[in-house]
Amino acid sequence: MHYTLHLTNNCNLSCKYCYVNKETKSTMSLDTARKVIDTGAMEGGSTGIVFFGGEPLLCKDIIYKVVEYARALERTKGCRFHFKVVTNGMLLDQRFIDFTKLHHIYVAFSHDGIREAHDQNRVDAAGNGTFDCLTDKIKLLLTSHPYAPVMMVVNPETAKYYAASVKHLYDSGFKYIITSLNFKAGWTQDALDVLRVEYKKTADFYYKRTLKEDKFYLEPFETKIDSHIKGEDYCSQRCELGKNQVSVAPDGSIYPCVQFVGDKEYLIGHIDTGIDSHKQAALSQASHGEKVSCLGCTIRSRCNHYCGCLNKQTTGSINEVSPVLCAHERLLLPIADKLAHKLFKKRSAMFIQKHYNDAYQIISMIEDSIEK
Amino acid sequence: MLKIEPVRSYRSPDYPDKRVVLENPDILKTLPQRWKGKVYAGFAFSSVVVLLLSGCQQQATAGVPAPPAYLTEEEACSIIIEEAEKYGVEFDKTGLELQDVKFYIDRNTSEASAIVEHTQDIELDGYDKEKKIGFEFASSDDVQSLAKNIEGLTEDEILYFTDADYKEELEEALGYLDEKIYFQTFYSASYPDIADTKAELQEQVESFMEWLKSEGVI
Ligand code: SF4
Ligand code: SF4
Repeated sequence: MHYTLHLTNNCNLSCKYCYVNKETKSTMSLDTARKVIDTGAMEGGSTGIVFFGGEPLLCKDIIYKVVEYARALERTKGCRFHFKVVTNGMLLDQRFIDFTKLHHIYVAFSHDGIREAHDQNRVDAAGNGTFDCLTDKIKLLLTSHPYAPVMMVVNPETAKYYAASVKHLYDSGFKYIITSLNFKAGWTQDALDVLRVEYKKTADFYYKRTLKEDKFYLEPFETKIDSHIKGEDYCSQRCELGKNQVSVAPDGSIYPCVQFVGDKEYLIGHIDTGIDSHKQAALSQASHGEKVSCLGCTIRSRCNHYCGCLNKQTTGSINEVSPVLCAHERLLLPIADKLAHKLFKKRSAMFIQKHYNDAYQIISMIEDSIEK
Repeated sequence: MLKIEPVRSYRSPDYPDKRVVLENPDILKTLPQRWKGKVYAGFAFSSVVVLLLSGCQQQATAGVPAPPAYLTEEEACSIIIEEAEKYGVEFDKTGLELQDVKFYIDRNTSEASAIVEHTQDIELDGYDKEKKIGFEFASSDDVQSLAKNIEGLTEDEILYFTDADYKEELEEALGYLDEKIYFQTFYSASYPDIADTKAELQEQVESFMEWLKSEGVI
C-alpha cells in the first residue's frame, strides 16, 4: 500500500493554481504520522510513503523522525518502506538533502519551466515569482539526486512556453520531467491549438534526444506511447481509488486520493480505525464503470478519462469526464503515436530498450552505478 | 466551447505492441552505443526471458512472424469501392481533381518559421459526385510525392514524412476548401496475414460509412 501523508495544508508559496484549502491551518502530529508507519509495518511487505502538503518541508522535523522510526521498525519487524517527498524546493538545504540521500528518499520538485511561465503562477505570498530563488536549489538537488523528477504544471496562458520550458528543465539537468495540465483552468480551443504546436516541437526534441541516446523520461509522451505498447497490461495498471494508495489528512482521516482530502463525502476511514473496505470498494467500483459520455470512443482504452481523481478535480464528480481532458487526449495521442512510429521506424536503440525491455530500469540503474 | 467527442475511428499505431517483440526477441538486440561491449548488455538479451516468463508464453512460441503484408493501391481501392457500395456510395475511380489545395505543413522544429505553405493539385482516388463523398488511399507513392514537392523540408523530414502525416495534412488541407466534401483517407495496416490487412481496411471503410450515416449524409 502507498500512503500519501498530507503533513500540512500550510505553504510558503501562493501559487495561483493551488487547489489546497488553506483556510484553517492544520499540521499532522508526529503521533498520527507514526501510526501510518505502524499500519504499514503491520501490513508487511513494502510500503510507500509520500510526504505531501501544502509544503511538506515546513515539517522537516516530522519527516526526519518518521523516517528514522520506520527504519528502526524495518530492522525489528522485517517490513520495508520507501519514501518520496514532493516539494516546491524553496526550503531545500544541505542537511535535508544529505538526509534524503542517506535514507534513499526520492525528492520530486515542482517547477514550471522558463521564467516567463514559472513566475506567472508560482509566486510567494507577496506575489513575487520564485524562479530566481530556485536556481541554486536545483543545483543542490541534482548534485545528490541526478534523477530527481521535476513536475511542471501547464496553464492556458503558459502553453506557449511549453517546449521552451521542457528544454529549460532538461538543460538545467532534470532527466525525469513530468508535465501535466491544470485541467481546471479555463482552457479554450485556441489555447489547446497553441499547446498542440508546442507538443509537436517537444516531440521533435524527444525524437532528436532519443536518437542521440540520451537517457530521459518525459511525460505525457511516455505514458501515451506505453498505452499502445503495453495494451491490456496498461489498462490493468490503472489506479483503483483507494485500493493501492490512499491519502492521509493532517487529522488522520483517510481519503482515496489527494484531490479528495477534506471532502467528507469521500472519507474512507481514519488511521485509528483503519479503512472502511466497503466504502473503498464501492468507490472503486463506481469509478470503474465505463463513462456514458465515452461509449463508442475508439481510443478509450488509452485515455485518462477513467481517473476518478482527475474527474473529481475538474467536474466535481468521479464519473464525469472533463471536456478539457477529452480534447487534450485527442490532441496528444496522434502526436505521441507519430513520435513513437518515427523512432521505431528508425530502430532507435534507446526507444526500443526504454519501451519494450522490461529490464530497462534495472539495466539503467546498473549503468548509472557503474558509471559513478 | 469544448465538448466530449468520442473518437469514431483511430488508426492503430504503426509501431508494434509488446507481443510483437515477444515474437521477435531479436529486436531487443538493438543496443544503445553506450551499452555495447559492457557487462549489462547481456541483461538486455536475457530480459527477453523475463518477458517470456511474465505470462505471454503462447505468443512467444509462435515464432518469427511473416513480413507485414501491405495491399497495393489498386487492391486497396477495389476493397474500399466494394465496401462503400454496400452502403449505397458509388465511388467513381476517376475521382475528383482538386486544384490548388493549400497545405500548411507544421515542420516540427523549434524555429519560428515552422509552418511551410505548399500548394498542390490532388486527384482523389474515388469520389461520389452526387453525395459529395471522397476518399484517398494513402500509398507510399502519394506520401513521398507530396513530401518531395514541399519546398523547405530537409531530407530527413522527407524520409520521415509518414502516411499518418499525409492523412493529417490532406484532411486539414481539404478542410480549407470552399466546397465542402465528406472525405476520408484510408491506409493499409501491416499485419503478417493479408486477410487481416484486408479486414482492417474493410473496418476503416465501415466506420467511415457508419459515421456518414450518423451524420445523415447517406
Ligand atoms: S507549492 Fe504547492 S501547495 Fe504550495 S501554493 Fe504552490 S501548489 Fe499550493
Ligand atoms: S474522454 Fe474523450 S477521448 Fe477519452 S475516452 Fe472519452 S470520448 Fe474518448
